[in-house]
Amino acid sequence: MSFLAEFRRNLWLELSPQRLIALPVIVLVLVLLNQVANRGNPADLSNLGSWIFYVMVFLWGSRRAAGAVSEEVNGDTWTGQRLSALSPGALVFGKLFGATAFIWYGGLIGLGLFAFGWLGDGRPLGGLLAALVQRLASGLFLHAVAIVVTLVLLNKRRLMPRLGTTWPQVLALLAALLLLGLFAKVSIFSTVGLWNATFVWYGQVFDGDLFVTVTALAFSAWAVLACLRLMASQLQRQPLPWAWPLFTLFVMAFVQGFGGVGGLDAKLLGPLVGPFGVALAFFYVALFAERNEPLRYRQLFAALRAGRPRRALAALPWWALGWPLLLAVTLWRGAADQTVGGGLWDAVAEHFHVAAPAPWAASLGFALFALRDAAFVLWINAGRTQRGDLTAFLYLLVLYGPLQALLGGMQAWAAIALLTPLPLGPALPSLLSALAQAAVLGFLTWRRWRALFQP
Amino acid sequence: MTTPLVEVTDLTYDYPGRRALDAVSFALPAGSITALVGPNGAGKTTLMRCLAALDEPLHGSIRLLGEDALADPPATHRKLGYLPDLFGLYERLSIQRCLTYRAWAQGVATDSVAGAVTWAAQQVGLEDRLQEAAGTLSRGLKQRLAIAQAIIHKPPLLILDEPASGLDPEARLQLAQLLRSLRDGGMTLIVSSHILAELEDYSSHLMIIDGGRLVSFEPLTGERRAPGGRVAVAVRFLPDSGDLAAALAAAGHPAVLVEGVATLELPDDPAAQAAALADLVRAGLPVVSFAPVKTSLQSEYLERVRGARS
Repeated sequence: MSFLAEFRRNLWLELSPQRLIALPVIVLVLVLLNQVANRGNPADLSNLGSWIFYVMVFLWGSRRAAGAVSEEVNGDTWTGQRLSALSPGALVFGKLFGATAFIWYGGLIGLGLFAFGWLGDGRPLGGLLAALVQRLASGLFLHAVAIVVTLVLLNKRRLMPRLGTTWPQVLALLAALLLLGLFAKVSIFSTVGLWNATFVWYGQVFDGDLFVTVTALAFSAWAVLACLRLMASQLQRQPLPWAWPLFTLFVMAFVQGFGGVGGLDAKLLGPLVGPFGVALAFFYVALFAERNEPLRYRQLFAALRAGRPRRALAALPWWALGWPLLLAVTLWRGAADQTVGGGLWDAVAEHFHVAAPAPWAASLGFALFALRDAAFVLWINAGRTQRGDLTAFLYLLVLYGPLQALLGGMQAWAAIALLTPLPLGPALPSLLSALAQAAVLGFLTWRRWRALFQP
Repeated sequence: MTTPLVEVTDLTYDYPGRRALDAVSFALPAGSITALVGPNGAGKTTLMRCLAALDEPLHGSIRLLGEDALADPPATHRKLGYLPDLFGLYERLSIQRCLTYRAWAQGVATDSVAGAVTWAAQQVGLEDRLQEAAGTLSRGLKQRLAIAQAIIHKPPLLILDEPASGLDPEARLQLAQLLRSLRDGGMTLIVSSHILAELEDYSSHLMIIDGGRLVSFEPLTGERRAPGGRVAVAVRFLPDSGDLAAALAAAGHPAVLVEGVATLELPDDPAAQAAALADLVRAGLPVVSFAPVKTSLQSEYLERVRGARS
């Protein structure tokens, strides 16, 4: 029973007889209205079913999923859950499917209408199956991401007095848009999406429906895995941090499959979603997603000194695990050429009438300046007890935004090359500058830590 | 010598910019009720959260029932109940469902859940209200429900952070009775509170913590202690009995007299105290009463904290 404890508790709270009766009645009224307005057109019934599903599962569901954790924290019941004998799997299952039980109840009614309208319209059964799986997987992905974001924010909770549901919901919706909006035929996204009847991936042609369905299922599985790992961490299980680098590798491999061959618009997205771009973006996400306060690193060093390698490994920050991947991808010429040498930087260099560096040098510059940025974030955090990440983020924003623009306006290309990885100057001084800054900031951080940690 | 239920060694915990616990060590006897007291920010809650394996200390070890409590926190959680200062309840659920959920969540065997719910409700006097929603209960009854949730798996150790806060006098009295009955049922308790008079009613040990350091941890006898493990004994004499100070000195027990009462510092040993009384009687001193000086928890606490700070 203990595996289903959290699930059943959520069912007690979510599924009251009144709610179970009221929702179908409301849907019935909507269906009747639709029939009157559209004279019984099955396609309209299908659309209505889709919209009921989107509103229930996407909009309301993402809020409920985020609330599944934040309500516990704000209601002071989270400590009780952390003290329970429930496994991470039991808690995640209970929250993912129990806290959203009513949502799925409404969503399934919507899908039923969608299917009824689809078949009534005489459309093929195979397409219906794919559409249903895509919608279900998308909903699961969204809910899981909402829980992931809530757990990440909970980890950084010192930044906020109360844990809200708005940010997790918004970020989950953005993640869903980013992933599904690019590929999905789902009508809510199709107007802005890049839906193709077929996708070319690693040179193979795949049916569009099948590709999107498998993609949605794969990313949903990753999102659920992320929930499990973060929940395990909350329950003091000290999981080893293999999931993050593995996920980074997975996404890098996924986007590499398109390789500018034609599945995606290479000009628009090539530089942004290539393996190098993924490694770089994931590095910064990891850097700001975790706590960077000195105590966290002190735990790591204490575990090392105490000869507890497993504990030390569990305490390793994600960014430190992601950086070798970033470095590796810069040394992998194919990926670097595709991304950094994909024409974007050439166009920028041509615009400013400067020479563009070799792609490998440009990408290595990004990796080294990323290391400098990590050292900077740790240094800022070592000197502050509150809002260290936010302060560091704002400084970096100024560096990469207004300051770079100002230097560009003054045509101070050398200064830009010394401070940022924008490859618009001689490569070697830029790379040496990044290394030197990382080393100096690393040393200063170590000094601050040492002063803080002295008894 | 009672076997320690909990052994804490060199426990150190840091918050950003300050040390919350500084090399705290103690051994908690089984079957005791320990009053954990200290000023605000002394580290009481941090100590309790570490004991509950909710927070990981920087250094030190905690052994619960002989096993490393920090090595396997989920296993530790099964051996203890913890009621935090700020606790929440699922207010829309009935008491029965709250307790049933907690029994499932604590891994109580399926066929024992109903019995565990009844037992826990009886322990806290809620057996007649099982169908009432948690949100409709008074503050005192909510506190009882929270304690029932914490003990439903019959843990050997129960940790309560400020359990009496916000309770009216009657509810406090009932809480004291409840804690005593749990102790009598075999549990070991750690109770933190700022209401020292109430802790005095049921505590067997006093643990004082200040600035993250353990100031003292001793059995609570209610007798005033003198340095070197001696106790203070008040001796009252008949009024107008001559130069009592000189007579006391001649009998080998020099002491200062205040309004006819001398306070002697004697070994914490009944035989030694009987011998001292015999000395006084043999010396012809007109002894009216001879009794250990009783002290309140409040004065003992203040004395210790001031002593430690000076």
